[in-house]
Amino acid sequence: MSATPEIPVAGHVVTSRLRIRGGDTLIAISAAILAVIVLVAILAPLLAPYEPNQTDILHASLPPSSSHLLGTDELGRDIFSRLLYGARLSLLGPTIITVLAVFLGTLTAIYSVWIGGRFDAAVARGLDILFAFPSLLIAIIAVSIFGAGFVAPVLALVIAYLPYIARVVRSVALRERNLAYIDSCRMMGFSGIRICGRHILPNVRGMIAAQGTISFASALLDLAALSFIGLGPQPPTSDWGSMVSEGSNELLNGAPAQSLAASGAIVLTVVLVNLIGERLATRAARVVR
Amino acid sequence: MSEGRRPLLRIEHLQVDLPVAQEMRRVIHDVSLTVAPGEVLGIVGESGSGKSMTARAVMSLLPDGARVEGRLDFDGRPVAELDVKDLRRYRADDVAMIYQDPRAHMNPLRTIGSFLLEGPLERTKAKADAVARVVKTLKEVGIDDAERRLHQYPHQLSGGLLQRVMIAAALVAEPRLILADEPTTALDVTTQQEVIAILAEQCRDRELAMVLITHDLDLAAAVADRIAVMYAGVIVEDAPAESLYGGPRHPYTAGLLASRPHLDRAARLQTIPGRPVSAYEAGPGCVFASRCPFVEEEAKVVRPRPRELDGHIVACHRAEDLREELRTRSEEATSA
Amino acid sequence: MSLLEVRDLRKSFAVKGESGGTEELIAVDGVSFSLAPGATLALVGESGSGKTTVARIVAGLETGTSGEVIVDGVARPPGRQSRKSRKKFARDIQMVFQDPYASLDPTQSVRSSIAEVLREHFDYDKGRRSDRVAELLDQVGLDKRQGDARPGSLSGGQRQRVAIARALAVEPQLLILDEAVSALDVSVQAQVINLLVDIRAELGVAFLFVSHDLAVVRQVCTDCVVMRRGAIVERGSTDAILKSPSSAYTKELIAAIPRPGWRARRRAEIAAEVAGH
Repeated sequence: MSATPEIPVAGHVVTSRLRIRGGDTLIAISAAILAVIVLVAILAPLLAPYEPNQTDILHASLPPSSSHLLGTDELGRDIFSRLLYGARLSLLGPTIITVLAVFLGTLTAIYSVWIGGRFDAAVARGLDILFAFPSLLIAIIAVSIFGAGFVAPVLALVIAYLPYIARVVRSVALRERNLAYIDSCRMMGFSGIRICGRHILPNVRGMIAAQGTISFASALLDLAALSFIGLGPQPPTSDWGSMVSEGSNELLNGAPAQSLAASGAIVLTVVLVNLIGERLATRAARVVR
Repeated sequence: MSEGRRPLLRIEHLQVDLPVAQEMRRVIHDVSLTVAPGEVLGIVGESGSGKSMTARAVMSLLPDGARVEGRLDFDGRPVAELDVKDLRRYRADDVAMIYQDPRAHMNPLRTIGSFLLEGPLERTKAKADAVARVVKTLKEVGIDDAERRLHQYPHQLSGGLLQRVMIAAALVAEPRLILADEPTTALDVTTQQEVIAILAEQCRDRELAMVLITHDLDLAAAVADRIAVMYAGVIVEDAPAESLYGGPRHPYTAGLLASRPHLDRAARLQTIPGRPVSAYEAGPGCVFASRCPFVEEEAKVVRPRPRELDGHIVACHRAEDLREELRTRSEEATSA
Repeated sequence: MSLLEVRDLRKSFAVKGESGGTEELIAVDGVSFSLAPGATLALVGESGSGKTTVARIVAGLETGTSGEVIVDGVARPPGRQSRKSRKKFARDIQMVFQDPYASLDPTQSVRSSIAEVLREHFDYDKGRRSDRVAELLDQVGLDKRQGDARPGSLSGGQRQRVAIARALAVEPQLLILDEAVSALDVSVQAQVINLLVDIRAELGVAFLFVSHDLAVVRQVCTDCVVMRRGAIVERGSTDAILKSPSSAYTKELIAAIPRPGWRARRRAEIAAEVAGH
C-alpha cells in the first residue's frame, strides 16, 4: 500500500523520500505538478518559442493565438515566453531564501537550545523581536538602502524568515533535548556537536521540512508582492510578480492574459507547495516513539 | 458466584476490534464476567491484556470505529440498546469511572468546584444543595478544608489530592458501579493506601459495586472479593481473591504470582519467558501458548474454553493435571 | 577507598511563591553517603524525596548548590560539565533511565547506538567493535537479529535491555539505575531484575539503585538509604531496614505495601491506633 513515486527532474529519475499511501495521492499529484513546473523553469531556454525580452512594437498587445499562446504585451514581447523565463527568478528567490533561512535558523535554534540557560533566553527574546517585524517591511527597508533588484529583497527576506524557522525548530529541539536519550548521550561524553547534529537534528527533521516548505510558499508570495510594487527585478527582466503589475493596464483594456497567467502561476505554485507543507507538518506533529 | 441475585453487570462473550492504521485489530477475544451489587471485582493484567478496553466497553466509550460483539447488560438492560438520552443517564448516574491520571481528565482552566458541580447541577437547580452535597463528599474522601478547595485549580493540588477529588466526583453522582482503571498506579505507596482505603470504605458504606483494574496482583487480592486475570484479550482465570492468590489454577496466574519480587528475601525471581502480547498478536490456540511452560500440542491449535474447577473458572486445557504442580510452585513463591 | 562519596550535597531552587515573592525550594538537604567498589546501594523514597535529583547530580546531569561528589578519589568539578570532564567521568559512571520510550534515539538502530559508544571511547577496529556489540547484546539477553532494529519496534523490556547494554559498553565502575524497572510489566520486570543481578555477579559493577519499590530494592541491593523531603531518614543494610526499621517514616512505607493479609487503612485509622498506644 505504499508507493514511492518517481519524479523525473532534469533527466534524472529521483525517488521521492515521501512514503505515500493511498490517502496521499493528492500530495503525490502536487509533487508531480511542482516537479513539472521546476522542470519547465530549468528548460525555459529550450521550451520558450521566443526571446523573453525581444520587443516587437508592430505586434504589440496581441490577443492569444497559435503563434503567441498567451498573446503579446505592450512592447510586443511574447507573454508565454516571459512566463517560462519568469519562473526561473520566481522560483529561485524563494529557494535561496528557504535554504538560507532553514540553515541559519536551525543552526541558531539548536545551538541556543544546547547552550541553554541565559544565552538561550536571550536568543529567544532576540528572535521574538525580529519576528515582530513584518517581512515585507524589512524587505522594503533593505531595498531603500541597497536598491531594488533580486539580491536585496532576497537577503532581506532571509533575515525576515530566519526567526520564523528558528522559533519552531527551537521548540521541538527543546522538547527533544529534555528527553532521557539526550541525557544518555551527555553521560557518554559525546561532544555537543555530535549530540546536536547526530541526535537532536534528525529528530526534528520532520518539523524543519514542514516549516521550510511552508516558508517557501510565503517567500514566493512576498517576493511577488515586492515585484508587483516595482521593488523586485527591474525591467526588462521578467518575473511573475512584475508581470502581474505590467499586465494590470491591459486588464482594464480587456486583455487579461498577462496578469491572469502570471497570477495563476503564482497561485498554483503556492497552493501546491502549501499542500505538501501542511501534510509534512501533520506528519511531523504525529511523532511516534 | 453471584448467589442467585441478579448481577448488576453481566458481560458475555465480549469481543472488541479496534481500527488501527487502516485495519481492524482484535483487542478483546472473549470476555465473560459478572459483578453482583456491592461486590468488588479485580481485573488484573499486564500491557495488552485488554483490561482497560473492557472498562471502556462497559462505559460504552470505545474509540470511533470500534466493532463490538457479545452481550453487555447493566441491571438486566443491554447497554448497546440504550438510546442517546438513556446512555447519558447511564454514564452519569449508574456507572462512574476513575482514571489513572486525574490531571488528564480535568480541565486545567476550571476550578475544582466547577468540575465537581457540573454533574449535580444538571440534576438540580438548587445550587446550595448541590454545593452542600459536594462538600460532604469531599470530606468523606478526607479533604477536610473542602470549601477552600472548591475555589482552587487542578495544578494547585497534588496527585493524591486530585485523585481523591476524582473519587469524590464519581461518588457524588451516587452510581451503582464504579470502574477504577489503575487509580493508584501513579501515586506513592502511602498515598495509594489512603486512596484504596477510601474507595473500599465508600463502597462498603454505600453498597457500591466496584471493578478495580490494576496490574498489581497484591493490591487486587487485598481489596477485591473476586479477581479475574486477563491476558491477551481473554480471561484466563476468575476466582475468589483469596483462593486465586493462594492457589492459582492457570499457569499465567501462577507465573505472575511467582515473578513478583519478595519483600522479605532476595531470591532469583521465577520469570515467564518472552513478553506480554496483545489479543491480535496471539495465535489461533491458547493465547498463552507461546510462553507457557506446560504447553502441549493441543494448546497451540485449540483455544481452551473457560470451565469450572474447584470454584475457579479457568481457561486451560490442562487445568486438572497442573493443579498439583501449580500448588507447589506458588507455595515456593509466597512462603516466607 | 570508596568508589563514590557524596558529601553534604545540597540542591535548592528559587521558585515563585504563592504570594508573589521568591521562595527557596530545597530538593536535597545535606545528603551524604558512600559506596564501595562493586557494592549495591539503593536510594529509596517517594515522590519529592530528592532521590532522583541526588542521582542526577552524581551522574553529572545536574549540579548541586553545594556539597561534593567524589568519584574514585576525584571530585566532580562544579558548574556545568565540560566535554572533557564528561568524557572522563563517562568511564566511571553510567546511567539507565526510567522511561524506556524516551531513553533511546528513535532514529538509531540498536547496533549503531552501541557502536557509537564504543567508537567514542575505545580504539577498536571494525571487526573487534562488531564482536563487542554482539557480546553486549548477548549479555543483556537480546538476539543478534535485534541489533538492526530501531527502538520503535522493540518492547519496553527490550528497550531497557538495550539501554543497559549501551551503559555497559563503556565498562563503567558504577551504574546508576533511576527507577529503571518501574515502567515495566510485572513479568518483564522480573526478567530485568534477574538480568541486573546476573550482570553484577559477572562484571562486579557497583549499583546506585533509585527506586520507590522496596520489594525490588530487596532483590538488587544489599544496602539502602531511605530519603524523605530531601534528607536521609534511615540508612543501613536492606535486610535490617526491612526487618526492623527504626524510622517512623520507613515503618509507614513498609506498612503501606500491599501483601497477603494486608488491609488498606486510612491515615485517620492509623493515627488513632498509634495514639491509642
